[in-house]
Amino acid sequence: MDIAVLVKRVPDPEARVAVSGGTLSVEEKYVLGMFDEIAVEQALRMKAALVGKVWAISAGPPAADEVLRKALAMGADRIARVELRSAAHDPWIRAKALAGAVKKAGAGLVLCGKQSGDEEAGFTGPAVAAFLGFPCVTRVLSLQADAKGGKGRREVEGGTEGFELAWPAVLTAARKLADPRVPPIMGMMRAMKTPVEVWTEKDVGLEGVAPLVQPPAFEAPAGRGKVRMIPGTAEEAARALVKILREESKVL
Amino acid sequence: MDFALTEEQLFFRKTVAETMDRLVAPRAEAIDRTGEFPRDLFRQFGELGYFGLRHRAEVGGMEADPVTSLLFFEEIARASFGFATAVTMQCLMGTYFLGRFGSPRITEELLKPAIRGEKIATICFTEDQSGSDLGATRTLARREGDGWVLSGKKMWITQAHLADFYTVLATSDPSKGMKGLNFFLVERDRTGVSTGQKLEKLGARGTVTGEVLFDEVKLPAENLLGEKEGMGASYLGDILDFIRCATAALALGLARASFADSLEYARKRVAFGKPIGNYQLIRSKFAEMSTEMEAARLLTYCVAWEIQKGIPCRVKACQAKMLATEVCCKVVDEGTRIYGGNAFAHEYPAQRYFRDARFLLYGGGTHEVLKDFIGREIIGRL
Repeated sequence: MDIAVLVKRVPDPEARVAVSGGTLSVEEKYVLGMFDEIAVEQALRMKAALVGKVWAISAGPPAADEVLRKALAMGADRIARVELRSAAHDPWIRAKALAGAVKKAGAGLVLCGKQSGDEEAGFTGPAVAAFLGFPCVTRVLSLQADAKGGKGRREVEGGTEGFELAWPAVLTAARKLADPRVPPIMGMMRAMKTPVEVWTEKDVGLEGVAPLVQPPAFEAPAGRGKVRMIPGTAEEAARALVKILREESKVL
Repeated sequence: MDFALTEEQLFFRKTVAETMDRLVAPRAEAIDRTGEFPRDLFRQFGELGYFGLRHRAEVGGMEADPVTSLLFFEEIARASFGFATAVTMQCLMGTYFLGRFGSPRITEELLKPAIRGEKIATICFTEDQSGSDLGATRTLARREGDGWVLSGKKMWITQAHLADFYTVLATSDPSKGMKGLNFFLVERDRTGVSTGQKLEKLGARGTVTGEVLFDEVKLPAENLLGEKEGMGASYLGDILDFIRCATAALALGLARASFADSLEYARKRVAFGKPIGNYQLIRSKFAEMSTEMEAARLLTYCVAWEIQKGIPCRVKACQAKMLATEVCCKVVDEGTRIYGGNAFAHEYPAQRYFRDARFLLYGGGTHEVLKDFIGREIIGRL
């Protein structure tokens, strides 16, 4: 059974980001999303057990090819990108496109990051599962899998919980699931020579689907207020701070 | 004209840069401070296939073209200059002659393990009386039966004490000068091979540099790396332009590391109520550094492209090595000024870049020798 990993090209966490006149500008530094990269690693580790190919799939502009190539360099077998002509800002449209792509690839297990590195909405995995009619387990921390299904643990508020399920399914990766490998040079060479399969909106059944979300306008966050330093020993400073919080800020 | 990198090269550069940021850059400070060779990282580089960058596919190589190779050298020098010198030695001079002339046994037992990072390779050029002046090489190889007997002392040898095998420049006839030179493979475990003094270095730390001594070392015929005797200088000429160009790429990478840190510092460091990057004198430094780095990069990559196209470029390769190094020395110097007093503290990397850059003035040809050569080529013999 094939595995599809959904990957997204996101700004490097160290890229300079500026908001001006309602639009966002990002320094030209992009990476494969951290959690998606973990998902790629997990898929590669499961490949033998599931006896199938690993697909890396992205929905977006041609620039997204570079993260697909990274997945290929790491060891993915095939890469495909859905060319989104409009409404690429809409997570609902993107999830629908990705679900269509998973169907087209014929994958029975879908992996992706628990959230993207830019919007951090945690929407894609569950939405793709809903479109495909697959069960979904989010924030997966550990996983043992065979050709029929898997079991493991997932993050929940304040702890972890166990799960067990049969394929098909969608799983979203948490930080501790796997440590992504560094692409070997042979993988890079393969990635440099392999063309990306480009699928149209029609190919993935997206024609005529209207977006639910309008393109956003951006506002810069308010600057930090004045900083007041409290002198004294740790104990004195703590007492002074509590007094300020009680009497001046009235938050206690 | 087309100055653009291909989509493949852009991908390669980006993936290599990410790998260096993850594996190498976080260890650069410790590599420099301790001066210890990071063997585990070296081994990992072998597993990832980096040492095969320029080698044939049959021996596990990538057969990267000169431009693509330079992208790699730039990125590794940006991450850790000390480690870059070890990696460059393994990729290029340490294994080049084995890749070109190695017998099937040498290929299986030494070259392939070296490409996998299991064996450490180095080259032995310098002696007490010869460096840039290779014709003065005194290490002697004399014929004995089918084989050779090698005697001499080499200095300034990268990985002297750690290498598993050496490619040694030796003369088989001192009266012939450059035409008497040959390269010999000498395995470390042969009788008569020993190591001498280790050098404490100003920069490019993280490799062990020192002396290697050869005392009547017996070598089989296959250890002469070449088709016939006396061709060493000619073979060296075949790779010399690329070596200079690769040295220039190391300079560009180191300059970029210093530039990036200085930039971050200039954006954050506040003096007299505003970030120092808002002062014209600091902006002027960045304007000049950036312009000169761009010029050095263009010349360096132009040389790589000419090598790729088979265009003769001996003079231009010297110019690229010299320009990129001088620009790098300027950029690291400006870095220490932008950092102000903090540049004097080991806590900040500015001093490391400053020390590392000095290595480039000597490796790949001193600028005094290069200038003399370039000038002579321009003016001609009068």
